[in-house]
Amino acid sequence: MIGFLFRRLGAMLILLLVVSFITFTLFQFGPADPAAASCGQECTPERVEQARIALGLDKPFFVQYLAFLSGLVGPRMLGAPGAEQVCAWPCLGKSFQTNENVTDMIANALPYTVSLTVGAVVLWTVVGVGMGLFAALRKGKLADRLIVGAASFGVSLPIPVTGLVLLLVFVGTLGWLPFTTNAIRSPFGEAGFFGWTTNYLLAWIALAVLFSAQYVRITRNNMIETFSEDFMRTARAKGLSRGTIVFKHGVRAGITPIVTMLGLDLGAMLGGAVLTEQIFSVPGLGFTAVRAATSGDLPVTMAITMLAAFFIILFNVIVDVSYAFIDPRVRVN
Amino acid sequence: MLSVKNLSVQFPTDDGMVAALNGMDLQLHRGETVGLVGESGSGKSVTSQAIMGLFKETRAKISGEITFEGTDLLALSEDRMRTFRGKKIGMIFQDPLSAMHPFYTVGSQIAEAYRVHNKVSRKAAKQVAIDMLARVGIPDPKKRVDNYPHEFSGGMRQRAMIAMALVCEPELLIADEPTTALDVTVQAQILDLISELQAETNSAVIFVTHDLGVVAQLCQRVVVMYGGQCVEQASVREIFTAPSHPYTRGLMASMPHLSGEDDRLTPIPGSPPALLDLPSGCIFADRCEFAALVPDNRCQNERPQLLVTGEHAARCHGHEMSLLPKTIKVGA
Amino acid sequence: MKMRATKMLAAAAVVAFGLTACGGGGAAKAPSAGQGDPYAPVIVEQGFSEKGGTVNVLMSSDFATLDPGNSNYVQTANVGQLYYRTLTMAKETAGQPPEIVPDLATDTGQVSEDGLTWTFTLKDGLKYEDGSPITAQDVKYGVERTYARDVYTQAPQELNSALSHDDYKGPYKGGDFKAIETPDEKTIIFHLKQPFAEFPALVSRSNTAPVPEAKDTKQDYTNHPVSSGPYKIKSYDRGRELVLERNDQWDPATDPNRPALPDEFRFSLSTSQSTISQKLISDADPNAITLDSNGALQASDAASLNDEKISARTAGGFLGCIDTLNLNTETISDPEIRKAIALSIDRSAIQVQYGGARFGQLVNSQLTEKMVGLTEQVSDLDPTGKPKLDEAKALLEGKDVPKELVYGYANSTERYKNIGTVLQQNLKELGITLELRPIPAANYYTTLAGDGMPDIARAGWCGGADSSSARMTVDPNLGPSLDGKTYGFSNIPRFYDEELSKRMYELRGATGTAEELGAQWSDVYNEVMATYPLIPTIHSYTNSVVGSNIRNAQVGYFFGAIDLNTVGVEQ
Repeated sequence: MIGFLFRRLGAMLILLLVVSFITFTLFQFGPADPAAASCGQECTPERVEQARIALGLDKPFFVQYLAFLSGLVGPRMLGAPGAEQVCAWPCLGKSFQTNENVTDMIANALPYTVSLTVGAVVLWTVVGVGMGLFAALRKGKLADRLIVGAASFGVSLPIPVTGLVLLLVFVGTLGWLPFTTNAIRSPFGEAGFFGWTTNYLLAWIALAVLFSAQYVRITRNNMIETFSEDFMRTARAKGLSRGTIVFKHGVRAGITPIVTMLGLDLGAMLGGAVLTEQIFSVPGLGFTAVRAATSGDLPVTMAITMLAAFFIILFNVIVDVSYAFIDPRVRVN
Repeated sequence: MLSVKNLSVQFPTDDGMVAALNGMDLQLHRGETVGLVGESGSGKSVTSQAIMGLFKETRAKISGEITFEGTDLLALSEDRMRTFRGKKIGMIFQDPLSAMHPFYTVGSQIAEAYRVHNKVSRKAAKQVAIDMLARVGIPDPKKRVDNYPHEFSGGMRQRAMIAMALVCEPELLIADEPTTALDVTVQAQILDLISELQAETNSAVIFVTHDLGVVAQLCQRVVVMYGGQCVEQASVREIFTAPSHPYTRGLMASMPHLSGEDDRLTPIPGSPPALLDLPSGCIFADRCEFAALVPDNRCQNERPQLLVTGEHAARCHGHEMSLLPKTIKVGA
Repeated sequence: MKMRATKMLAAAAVVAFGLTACGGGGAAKAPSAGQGDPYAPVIVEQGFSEKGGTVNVLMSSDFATLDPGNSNYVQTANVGQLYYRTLTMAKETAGQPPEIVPDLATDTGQVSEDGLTWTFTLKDGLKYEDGSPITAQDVKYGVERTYARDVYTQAPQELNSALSHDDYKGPYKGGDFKAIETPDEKTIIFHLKQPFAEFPALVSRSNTAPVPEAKDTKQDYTNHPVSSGPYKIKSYDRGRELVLERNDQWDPATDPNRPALPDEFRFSLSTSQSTISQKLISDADPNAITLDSNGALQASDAASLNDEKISARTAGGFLGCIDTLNLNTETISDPEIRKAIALSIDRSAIQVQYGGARFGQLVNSQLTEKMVGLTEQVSDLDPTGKPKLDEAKALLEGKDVPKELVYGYANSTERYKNIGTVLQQNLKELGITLELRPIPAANYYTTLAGDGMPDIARAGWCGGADSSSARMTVDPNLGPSLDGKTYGFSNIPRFYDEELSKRMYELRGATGTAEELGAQWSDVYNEVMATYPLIPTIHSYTNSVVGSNIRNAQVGYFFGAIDLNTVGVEQ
């Protein structure tokens, strides 16, 4: 197990390195020139070159890349000659747009994305898995058909639509919920758990509508398959109660694909829910990433891309490890 | 002790109702071992599952009667039925690898079966599981109790399965082809184990199989099934020496010599009936070599009744009218 | 689905208004047809003078910078008037070019006989937020910083290009700047390359905001610029929130231009535009305003603006910005062909792309009637924007008309692509096929200035440091290079004419009254425009809804949003 973990972590580092290199390269050869982007209509070629120096883009590609990597190992120096500044470890550079330390930007944005993710994941897992299970137990009956129908409708609703409708109805018209504020970033702050919940609730619901649908489908299909397994018949033949049969035997056995999907979704969500964060004014990683990408802000884009990749890879490892806890047969191999 | 009368089970499918059982009859006495014999699809497993009440709360349609020690099992609710399952009626399944939960230890699965009917602590239940494993002949049960099913060999798994089915000492054990998935040498051990334990606990056993050799070795009485019906039942001796029903005769004829290899062939010409569309006459008629002997196309038009003569019963117009040739003794 | 969402928004808005007991009324006037000038400025609740309260400013993104030495942004300039002062100040009045008034300086500058030296004297009693005095040396240092363009990529350059010694590299590498002298703590003397009549406007730019050298944290100065104005930074959580509170060291006696009414400004820096417009329209926060462009209004909000209660809370006014379609005079060198193209274009269809009349007025010239010394401008363009196809076709008779042309557009905005589609249809009538070519938005202007300049491209110009001066519009858009030998770098049509360009070159250094100079620049512009190097389209008009407690809300001609200097809040 320990060896397995070390191998996976090693592979993770290499993968991150590859991701960083690719992002860096793409940016280098992309259509937009960040130096030219730094000034508008009155941008003389001379000014563009000065901006290039200011942003550190005047150096050769590999020097830039190695300088970036050096910031991951220890502190590095940033800025034009004569106005250098120390960027403390871990240094991901400074924003081309706002000169903010990227590490700080990410540390600021992360709690919002985590808040968004945690609530949404809990909501869609409970709703999606719950309804999927219920549908599987009522296979072929009206309840099953209603749930399957609702799921295929939910999965076809894009976030901008559900998001805007929810905002208009519950915030605009009914006024049951407040406008989202960026003052609440965790349930442990001044606003407390209740304030946190009301602040993020609509965003959670918008995400849950989309994601629950997928969980309903996978849970239903998977549970129907599991319920037809021999060991489920055995469980009944032992005289176990319905609850024990469904949850202890059925859900436990059928949970693997759901855990896999949950892990991958979690990883992807933590990288930033771009549309949801935009619509609900949640200044998380997705919000920050869009700003950065549209303004040619290389350091911020790099950092968020790498962080998103890190989360995805990390949760892949977590999913793999969790297999060993769920399924004893995996432990031997 | 157990009486199944005119039991019918139908499953709805997209193509219509599949009649898996069409008036099945079966009697069982305390301490008795009955072999339930027939080809695949003849309704053996459906019968045993119906007795376990496993079709409750499914879309299967059941009619007829199952009485267990005076209780009408078909009338019981799922919750009441639960108190019978495992406690009074135990069941062993064909493939122990798929029949045991892959994610729980063998011990915990046995203990679970015990705890559901006996109010004991986890620890006590575990001790019961260890004792039970020892009883079914698993070496080093204290260690093996914490193993997972996949860590057991095939034979060991079936022993564990038996331990699980018998942990509450049920009065009736249904063994649904318990040896099919095992090697020949292991098969014999398992059969020995079942008969040993039966002797100890004095429980009745329904032994579902399509292996007549196993029946000869283990059972007192045999019920032959075809097309979801009991076509013949009699003592083992009678069945082997004087089979009445043409189908049973065919089975006997197809049975390899005991010394020979067991390849379980059924070289009776034709194939089992389509359960979606059963003939109105004798279900076996279109495969029966003697059907022509019966006048007026009775075999094609009229469903024969189960004719009981003493301990022997058969469902055949030809037999009823004594038109069949005398049986020859099969086997060595 | 989208349609439904839009309708629901309208429904939501109506319900919200029904519930709001709005304390509005009075001076507000909605820009609607038939009621006089639809583009007259609208100031919400003018004449309010009570101090106190908090103004909540909703924004969809953080300020790019708060460093006066690194800012080319109108948003920064707008908030900047709250925490920094400059030698002179461009004071906003809705619908008009800002007026240049003395700020740190006692007057708008004394010019020498030859027009090459400007002298300013600081007022008495000027202090920073820490109580230390503001000196002429600090003003000089502020200007010096804007020369360190390899540190400050957004450093404002309008002032710098007028000063001598323009090879200066900034205080970190270049030492002392010879173009500015500070003989004592109160006096500051600028040396110019050539006379520049609008110089008082140039020193209203953030370059002259004083920066104490000891407090210069270089790139980090943006996090806490030292205040010389009525407010100082209380807290600044980048990307989330900026709070400004009163600076008790600021002496109102030295500053007649800043009413400084609210006690506090609270900027929310990550509110999506749709949330901002919903909040403002429904008056969910009566103390709210926004600095987002177009008042954060979406096209779908148009219906709400017609509601009487909403229009009572809507400030409106022209901006200095006029959009143009630039014709590449190098690739389309025949002025008659350019004129034919100009006449064939349906500018009213282009106006629709901008959101219709509410978002701007069709104009035939980049020069506005507010410009000093404006002379009559002649244009054959239809004032209502309709194409003159017959005239255009007649012009092309016997000409070698190009078969294919390219329209380049910034790829971030759907509107600019749609304008191309309109042009495509119009030019088809002349037998010209138009290719639409996307250009990365971030590099748009550098692409136009380089080899990537297409045949036709949209651009906008907002009047420069002094939008009342014709020169500040004509020269950057159509003037020659610094040496006068070719077109200037921001001259997108690449217009260069031996005679006309030479006249502009000579006008740069000319002396005279503002009226005289304005008239001369207007005349040249009129002649240049007869060759159709560019086609004026829309003069931007901005509506900005404010909360019901907000008073004195005016749209700044330069800021393009609610002027933070005048705004107040009823408690």
